[in-house]
Amino acid sequence: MSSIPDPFGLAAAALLAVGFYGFVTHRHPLRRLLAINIFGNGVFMTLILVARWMPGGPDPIPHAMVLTGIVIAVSATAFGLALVRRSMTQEDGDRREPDDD
Amino acid sequence: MTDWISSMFIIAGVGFFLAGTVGLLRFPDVFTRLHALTKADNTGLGLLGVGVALQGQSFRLAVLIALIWFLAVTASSIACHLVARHNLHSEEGER
Amino acid sequence: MTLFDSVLALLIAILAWRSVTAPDLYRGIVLFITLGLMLALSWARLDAPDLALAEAAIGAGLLGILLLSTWRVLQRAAPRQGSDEPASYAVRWLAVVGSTVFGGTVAVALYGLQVGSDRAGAEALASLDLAGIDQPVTAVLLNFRSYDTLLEMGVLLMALIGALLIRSPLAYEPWHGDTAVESPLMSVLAKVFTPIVVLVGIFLVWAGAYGPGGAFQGGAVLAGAGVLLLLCRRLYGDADATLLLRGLLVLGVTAFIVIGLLLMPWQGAFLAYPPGLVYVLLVVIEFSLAVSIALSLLLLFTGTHAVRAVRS
Repeated sequence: MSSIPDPFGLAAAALLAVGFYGFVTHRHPLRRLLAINIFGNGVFMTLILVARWMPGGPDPIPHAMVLTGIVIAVSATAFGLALVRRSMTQEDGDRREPDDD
Repeated sequence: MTDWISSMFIIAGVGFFLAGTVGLLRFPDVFTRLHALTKADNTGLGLLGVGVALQGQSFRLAVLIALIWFLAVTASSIACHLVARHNLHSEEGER
Repeated sequence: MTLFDSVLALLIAILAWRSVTAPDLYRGIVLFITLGLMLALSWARLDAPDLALAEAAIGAGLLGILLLSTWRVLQRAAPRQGSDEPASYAVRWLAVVGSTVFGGTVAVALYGLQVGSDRAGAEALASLDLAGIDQPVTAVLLNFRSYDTLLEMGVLLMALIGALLIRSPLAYEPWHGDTAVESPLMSVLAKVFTPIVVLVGIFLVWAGAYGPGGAFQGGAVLAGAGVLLLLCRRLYGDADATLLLRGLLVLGVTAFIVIGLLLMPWQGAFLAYPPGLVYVLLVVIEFSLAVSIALSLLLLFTGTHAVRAVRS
């Protein structure tokens, strides 16, 4: 049994708090996506910290989970960005028809 | 002895980084800031690399560090050129 | 080196705060990219070099350029649209109080946590010689928990399909006003850098078997080479997909499923590999995954169904 004597614990808490703050206070969808990603990075940092301080060396399973998480976060964000482009470029009536397909 | 030489290189490199950062913060316009940033960081990174390579004491490591330095210098000078060029063109456009 | 770690942790907190509260959205995005690089550095310090590579390549690099290109599309199409004003003072103070309480609770919980020794990772590490691969994280991803990786590839494909279905007509294309594109140095960038970047990408995939690296890191670096070529106008996004390109997109998932199904009669379970062949099979799967990941990420950047080489 051991605890986590590491300054990055505070960084993880700060990332979570700041991500939450940004998501609540902003309306702009790009800013909200940024905030969600910062929140996600806080979660990853927490998992990595716990894996790091496992007795007997870093634990590969949380690492694999974080790697999966990074890819999923980027996929979801990329889809969100496509939605933002679509909705924000077409709000004031179609200014250009999608003529190339 | 090697430790001493390597520390000298690393301290010199850090000095260059410090000067570059001060320049970036204090210089008045884009071009002088780019000057401070690229000159200082390229030399600073090179000196740091030499210091670390001396610590590592392996030929393979030294070659890898040299390669990284070469890539960083090339990338940063091209990026600097693009930023300067873009700035120049947009300034001309305003006139 | 706790001083270095403390400074880095403080820097991460400040960068996150500045990125969220920067008055200018562009500055916020640039700070977010810097934050990604600092996170990569901190994860390298926390004995997670695989994740540091993944964060630097995917989180900071590709996500950063996706955010920047979306920002520019919005600037060109609707510079005034979308209220970018922060919420009112009352709401912000309430949010500050709420998130401080939340962050404080997390910190208290994290520092009070007693990490026990009964963990799943011990089993993975103990049976590492069964996995056929010396690198524990790659072994977990491709052998012990291969369902996760298969589904993760599926999520990436789904995101791409969704993005293509709703794609805006204003997807990224090099701008005529871009002075960058006319510069003679861009061809140097394309000629000198692309081969090196591709080589690094392939090396990372290969290195995943015994050291830091893997299909996702390598695939992201390969996608980075593609983005470089797009920006130098050696490639362009095209609306019509070829069968080959579609095939390469699903190559990773297909290799996973086909190998898993073919071996089922002998192994008795889906995605179980015979010990003798496991290394070869995992290398095949890993390279197929890397190709699909690279192409998916590249098409997410262009927002088109295909990329083609520019004929000069």
